[in-house]
Order: sequence, then C-alpha cells, then structure tokens
Amino acid sequence: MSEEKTLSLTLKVWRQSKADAKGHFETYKVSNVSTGSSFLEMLDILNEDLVAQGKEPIAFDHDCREGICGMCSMTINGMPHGPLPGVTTCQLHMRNFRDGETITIEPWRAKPFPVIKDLIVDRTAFDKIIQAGGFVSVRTGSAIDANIIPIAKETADLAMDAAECIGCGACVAACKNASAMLFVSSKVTQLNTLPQGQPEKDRRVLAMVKAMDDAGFGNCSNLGECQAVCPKGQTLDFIAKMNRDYAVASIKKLFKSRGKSRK
Amino acid sequence: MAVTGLVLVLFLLVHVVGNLQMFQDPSHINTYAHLLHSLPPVCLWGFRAFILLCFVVHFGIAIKLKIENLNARGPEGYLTKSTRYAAWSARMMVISGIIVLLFVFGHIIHFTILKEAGADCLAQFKDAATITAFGDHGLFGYLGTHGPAEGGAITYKVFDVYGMVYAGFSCPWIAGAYVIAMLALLSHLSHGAHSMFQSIGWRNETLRPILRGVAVVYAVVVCGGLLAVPAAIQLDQHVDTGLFPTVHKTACCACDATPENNVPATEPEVIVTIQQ
Ligand code: SF4
Ligand code: FES
Repeated sequence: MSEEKTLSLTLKVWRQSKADAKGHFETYKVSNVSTGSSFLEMLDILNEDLVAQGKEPIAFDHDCREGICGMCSMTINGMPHGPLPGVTTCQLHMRNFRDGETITIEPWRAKPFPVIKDLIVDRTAFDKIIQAGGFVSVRTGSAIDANIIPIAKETADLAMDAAECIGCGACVAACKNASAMLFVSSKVTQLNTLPQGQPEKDRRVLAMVKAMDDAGFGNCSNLGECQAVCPKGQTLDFIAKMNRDYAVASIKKLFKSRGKSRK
Repeated sequence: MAVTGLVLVLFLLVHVVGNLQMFQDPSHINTYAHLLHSLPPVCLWGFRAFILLCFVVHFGIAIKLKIENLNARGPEGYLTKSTRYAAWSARMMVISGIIVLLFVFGHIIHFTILKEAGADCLAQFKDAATITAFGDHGLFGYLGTHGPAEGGAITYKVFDVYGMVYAGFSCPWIAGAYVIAMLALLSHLSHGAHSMFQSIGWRNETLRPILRGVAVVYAVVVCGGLLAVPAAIQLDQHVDTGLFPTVHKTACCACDATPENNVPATEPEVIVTIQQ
C-alpha cells in the first residue's frame, strides 16, 4: 500500500431544499481528506462538519456502497459517477483527485429525473419502464432443475452482460439528449435473449420503448456518451439489438393475423 | 431518419458520379443531363418528388427529435459540461444539416429552377451544345424520341450543362459557398452514414468501428468528388490546367457581369440539327 496522503478540496455543491424550490450552488472547503476514502465518505465527513455547525447536511442517495445498487447518483465535474470509467460514485476513491482541486457536484440532470432534494433525483420513470415489460409473466414456482431449459453459453453470457445494468441512470444524465436507451436496451436484451423471455419478446420491446417515450426521455442520436459513463460498461451493442428487435416487432405487429373480430 | 438518410446517401453517390463527368469531354455530361431530362415526365418528376419527400421527412423528423431532446434535457443545465465520447460531427448534426439544407435550396434555385425558368443569365447555354446519340433509339430509347435516326447516329442541340457548370463555378462566391456546404456535408455524412446502421439495428460492437471507418471514407470520397469540380474550375481560372479544353471562359451573371467580362459564348459548330 502506498503511503496515504491527504487532500484539501473546494466543493461546489448543488443545494435545493425541496422539489419545487429554487436551487443554487454552495461552496465548501474540506481538508484532511484521505486519498483512500471514497467519494461518499468524503461527503460524509463534510456532512458531519455541517451538522456540527448546525447546518443542513447535503442530501445524496446511496445504499450498498459497493457498486451494485445504482443509488449513488451524482455528476462530478460534469461526469456522471466521476472521472474514472467503470465505477460508481461509491467506488470512486479520492486518490483520483488532485490536492487543491475544485470539484463541482450536481444531481443527474434530465426532465424525467426531477430533483427531490440537493443531489437526490426521483427515478420513478425507470420503474415505469420496467413495469411496462421488464419481466417474464409465467409462474416460476420453486426453483427448477438447472439445465432443464438448455441455454447456449453465448446466449447466457449476453443475457448476463445485459443484466449487469444497475439502473443507476448515469446514461441518461450523460446523454446530450437525455435518452434512456442504454438502460432500456440492457433490460430488453437481458430478457429478449433468454428462452424464457421469448413469448413476450415483441410485446416487451414495444411496451418498454413506449413507456420510455411517455416518460419524456429524449431520442438516441448514437452519440455514445452513455457507454462512456456507464459504471457497468454497457455498450451501444445493446441499443442496436433493441433497435433490431423493435423494428422486427413493429413489422410483425403490422402484419399480425387478426383472427376473428372481437367486440 | 435512418431510412430517408439512406436514400439521400445513395442519391449523393449517383450525383457524384454524374458530376465527375465534368472531367470528360463535354458531350458526356451533356448527354447524361439530356438523357435525364428526356426521361418520361412521370419518372423524372416522380424521382424528384421522391427525393424531395425524403428531404422533407428527414428534416421534419430531425426538428421533431431535436425539440423532444431539448425538452428531455430539462430546464436546468449542468454547470460543468463534459463530453467523453461523442464525436464533434455527431453533435453538430443539426447545424451541419441546416447548412446543407440551405445549400440545397440555393443549388436547386441556381441549377434547376433558374434553368427551367429560362433565366437570362443561363439562356446562353440553351441549345448551345451538340451531342450525338448512336443507334436507332438513342440511349435506352429516350434520346430517340427526338427525331428519326439517320444512318444510326443522330446529332442535335441540347442545353450546355457543361458550359453552365463551368460558368457557375468560375464565380468565386459560388465556388466558396459550395466548399463550405461540402465541408458541412462531410461532417454530416461522417456521422450519419454509420449512425443509420445503428438506428435500424444493423450494427454490433464488432461492426461499429468498421462502419464508422467506412462512413468517414464514404464522406471523404463523396465530398472530395463533389469538391473536385469547383476546385478544378477555380484553379482553371488562374492557371491553364488543360482540364477543360473546350470551354469558353465566360463570367457568371451573379457577380462580375460587367460588359467587358460578359463575352457571349461563341456559337458551337452545328453539324446537323433535328427539329422535334
Ligand atoms: S446502462 Fe449503465 S449507466 Fe445506464 S442505468 Fe444501466 S448501469 Fe447505469
Ligand atoms: S451506493 Fe450502491 S452502487 Fe453506489
């Protein structure tokens, strides 16, 4: 372990007391920040100081602090989850910053992610997309035998890769169009790849894309900012796959047999 | 977006090939232009309407998407902005698109509407070139509609597209505007020509760098091809490149139409003239 140093930093943090209040940036000085501490620990230390001074601590989302829950949403120097690729804010260590640096911390910015307080945004829009089709509607009962449904390794790998998405929303925050395509396509790919997801494949992609549009997310213009910030390394590959599934599903829907007319 | 874009991308390729005939004998491009104009009107106007429709749809959807995207970004922007991956050309699509659109307006007014309307400045090119069509029916039978063939070859007067293009691009302003538009087109294509594959799902992480490369090469080839003509004509104004041996250097009507410069084109030699 290399020798531990400490940093002195200036933080510019977005403060907003409640959803409909007007927000502003506030500047704080923190010193004696260990390079081994995580970004959230650095904020914890600052918050303790604020509480000791009788001030309102900075509200931010967090839960697992090990990079798997996707709660720790914040934009650090314009980059969702900070400057290090492939990590969440909670896994970002202070050694990635320079002594004396000014760090700007902002919430995710996107219309479908309204700020609730300070750095916390409301990500209900993602839940609505999942509710529209991010599931397999069969009774699974108790766990079945492994390998009862044979799945090719490549298929399982692709589905696992897609399933890595933790729903953090960094892709939306980074996208110049506030598009949620990387998130939605990860979820669609995960289920549309596996055999269990096949019966609802078309319905799923159409419904989830519709829910995404209804929630007010922007349109993908293939910029690739999302994959650059995604802490799980999701790629545009999933978006291409979803576009393909969407095109096929739309055409199939157009030519679908109508059977008997129903009242 | 992708589908109309694809149509326009393919149309451009045809356009470039047509343009490059400027480097051949004038009869080539004049025959080509005449052939296109003597297509049955439903084909000619059908094609024009189709391309126009693609333009309108492409532009219309672009504006709609842009408005939605700006809305989705929300009222509050980031204090610190950063771009990690998105190419400059990809972020400039709307701006480069508008430049190209403005150019296309001007281009059509210049070379199509003014011409069809028989504007004075282009009148000198009317029937100013002679072409020869071989065979009883001419090319695809269309040129043959102009008159009976005698001895297998017919020669008649047509609009001098070659002369018009030369005169047009000898004006530095027009050539300059063309260069700006082509740079915008280069930028637009270098994103659009690969992005369209992503939008219809014909891409994956292996194909992505390949398609990006292909798009850049395509953009450079197309824009290079389109720029070659005005560049060569501008160069020809200053040094004798020998590329346009048959042309009569005339001034364009748009700018320096001073009497001394405005030397009318000398009548080309007419071999046979067949009236319709
Ligand atoms: S795709 Fe990546 S950035 Fe987007 S929500 Fe999932 S994990 Fe987060
Ligand atoms: S707190 Fe769970 S991913 Fe950061």
